[in-house]
Amino acid sequence: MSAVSSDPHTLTIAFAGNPNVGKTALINAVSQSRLKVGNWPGVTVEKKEARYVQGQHQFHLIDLPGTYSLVPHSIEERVCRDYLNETPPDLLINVVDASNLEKSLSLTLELLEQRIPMVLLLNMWDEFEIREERLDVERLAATLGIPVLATSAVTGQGIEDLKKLLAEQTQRLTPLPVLPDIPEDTSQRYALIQRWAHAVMTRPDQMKPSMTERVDQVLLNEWSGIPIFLALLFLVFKLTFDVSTPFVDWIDGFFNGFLGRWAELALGALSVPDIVISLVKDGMIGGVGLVLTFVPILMFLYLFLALLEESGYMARAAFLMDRFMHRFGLHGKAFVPLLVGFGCNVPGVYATRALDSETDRKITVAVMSFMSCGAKLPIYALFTAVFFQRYQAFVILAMYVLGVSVAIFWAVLLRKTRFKGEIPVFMMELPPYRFPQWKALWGSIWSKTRSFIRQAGTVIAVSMVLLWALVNLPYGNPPEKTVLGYSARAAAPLFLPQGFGQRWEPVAAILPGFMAKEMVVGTLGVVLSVQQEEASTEKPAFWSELGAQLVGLKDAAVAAVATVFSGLTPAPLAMDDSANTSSLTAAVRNTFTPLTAFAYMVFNLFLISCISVVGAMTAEFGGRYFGFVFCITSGTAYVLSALVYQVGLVLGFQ
Amino acid sequence: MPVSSPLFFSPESLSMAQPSEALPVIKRSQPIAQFEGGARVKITEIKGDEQLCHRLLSMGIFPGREVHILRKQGTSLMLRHGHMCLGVRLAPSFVIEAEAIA
Repeated sequence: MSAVSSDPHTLTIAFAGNPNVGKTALINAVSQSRLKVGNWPGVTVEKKEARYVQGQHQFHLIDLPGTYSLVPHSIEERVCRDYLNETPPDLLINVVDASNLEKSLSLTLELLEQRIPMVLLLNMWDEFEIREERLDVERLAATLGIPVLATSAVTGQGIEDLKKLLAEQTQRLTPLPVLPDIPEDTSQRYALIQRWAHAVMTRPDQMKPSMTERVDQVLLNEWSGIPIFLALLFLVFKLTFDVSTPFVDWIDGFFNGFLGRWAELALGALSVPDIVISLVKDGMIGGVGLVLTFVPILMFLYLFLALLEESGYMARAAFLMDRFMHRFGLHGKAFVPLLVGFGCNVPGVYATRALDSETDRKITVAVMSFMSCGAKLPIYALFTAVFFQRYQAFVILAMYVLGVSVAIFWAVLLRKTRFKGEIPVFMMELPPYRFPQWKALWGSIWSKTRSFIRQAGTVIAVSMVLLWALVNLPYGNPPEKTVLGYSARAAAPLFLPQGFGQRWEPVAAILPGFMAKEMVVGTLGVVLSVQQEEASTEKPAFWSELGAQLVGLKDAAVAAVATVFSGLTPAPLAMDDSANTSSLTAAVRNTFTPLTAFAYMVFNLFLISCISVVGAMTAEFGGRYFGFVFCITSGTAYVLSALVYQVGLVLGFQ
Repeated sequence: MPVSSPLFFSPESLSMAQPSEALPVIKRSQPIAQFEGGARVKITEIKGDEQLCHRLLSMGIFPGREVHILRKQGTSLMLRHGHMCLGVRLAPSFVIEAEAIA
């Protein structure tokens, strides 16, 4: 076996094992947390690796994705198999859960057959020792013909031994395993595994119910399971948005208020033309600011979801929901992504990675846009405040219900047509409950957030510059004489069946709304020529303002902590402040009728939320499938809003 | 309780469980989803997509294995063997057959 590393002083060591056996925590413990998270080439599976130097030698530790087997069934299994075939490491470390030896040995057999120097780690030894079971480590080593160590990343047991073993590799590599006679036939393999396991393990006759089982009696109970689940999700959701709001506001203020204004002043002093100043301030700085306002929401959402995941609850939530969702053509594991979508579709799209089957992922992401995201709420807030004041909460709720109903309709339809076939079998290990490890949480949060900034971020920032051009060119003209104004006038007749096409202004707000639904209300304000707030004329003082910004960040942090304790009571529907501006309200009242306003809300409900979702969907599913989703969502929006208007007319509404 | 295929034996279950047994044993096996929560059963056969069978096998569920049906909700089952819990919902094209054990 030749070492892959070009540098003779670099040792590559790969960690393989089932999901949830603590590989990442072990690598963190050995490498003093030098874990870097990336992606395996060409797939959406996370690649975690760490490098550290000891003496003359560099160690390169690779965390292979958790798998049950090397038979390529899922993406993870394929990644593992290809890696071991194409670039065999100097040493393969098979991490197994000591409490579940028998289950893990199946993968161990397959790894042994790769003929790579190998070591077996009986991890989570601390959990195993609590049980009244015994395991003969030396006998297991003799049976498998490879070194076996008992370790625990939590208590640190065996970590020093592992480090010593790795250091020894620089002197002398662990010899190739002396293969025991492994049969080809599957049932014989399992007979062999059972024989081995029985030879090294002694188990008490009667096993006491574990803590996990007792907790499950409540959390998976026929009656209390679902209510507890819904309450937990409500909490996650509420905490995410409450805690991140102060940070979002701060970032928004920092970019659009502080940075934007100072860039304007600085460029103005250099007598740069107005058009360039506007491009830099509104297009570029505004664009980057918009991308970054998503970051706090994403990070907190990922934190709470990672908590559920790491504690072992997420697998159970999927199990609970599968019971209901498979009737609608959706897999139980699709519940979490869809729920996340109500907050923001972007992390929802990424969360579909948890689904094994590509078909399930595609169906889930196709109905994702019908989960009305947080950015669509200001639109409902504005129109209901103007036209449906008495039934405001009811009308807004109706929007959400309409979205979910249409999502169910499309899920059933897609499963019956394009993705014909039965819903895949649900099969998921429900790991024991554990306390989450902080390092694992942070790794998960950071890798996902970074992937958003990289992929979706670029798309949003560029689109913001394009949007700037639409709204501002030819520069200096009034709104109706810009590119956006002209094209909205041209496109308006298309929206006559929906009623709101009788005026060009609502149509003008559709395209910016495609960039981000937050911009619909803002664009309406601009094109309806509502008086904008005058910029403050105070004498500017850069350093004191920067100081004020930092104080503002501290205040945001304090406010975020405060909401955790004060914000647990349901807050009344959040109303966007700009929605209360009386001039905008008046302008909207003159432009829309109650019926066209309702049709406009329905239209926006079904449209793709924003350009970030476009970025995320294209990155995850490719341009072609995004095109398909775009047709579904836009078509639904167009047809249903027309239907609402026409039926409304017949029923005598205006 | 509906009992399907009252007379059934599979070669795997014989070779796995009691290789020394001389006579074929007649067993009452039925789809695992027809057992009640709390039952302890022995898996006799897994029928369906080969890759899924392999997935189950590598998770430690295979003919001859005794499992405890911890709970049953609709067609969803929670199975335990050793310290491993598995949530499953089977499909018409993928069936686990099992028999009750005393």
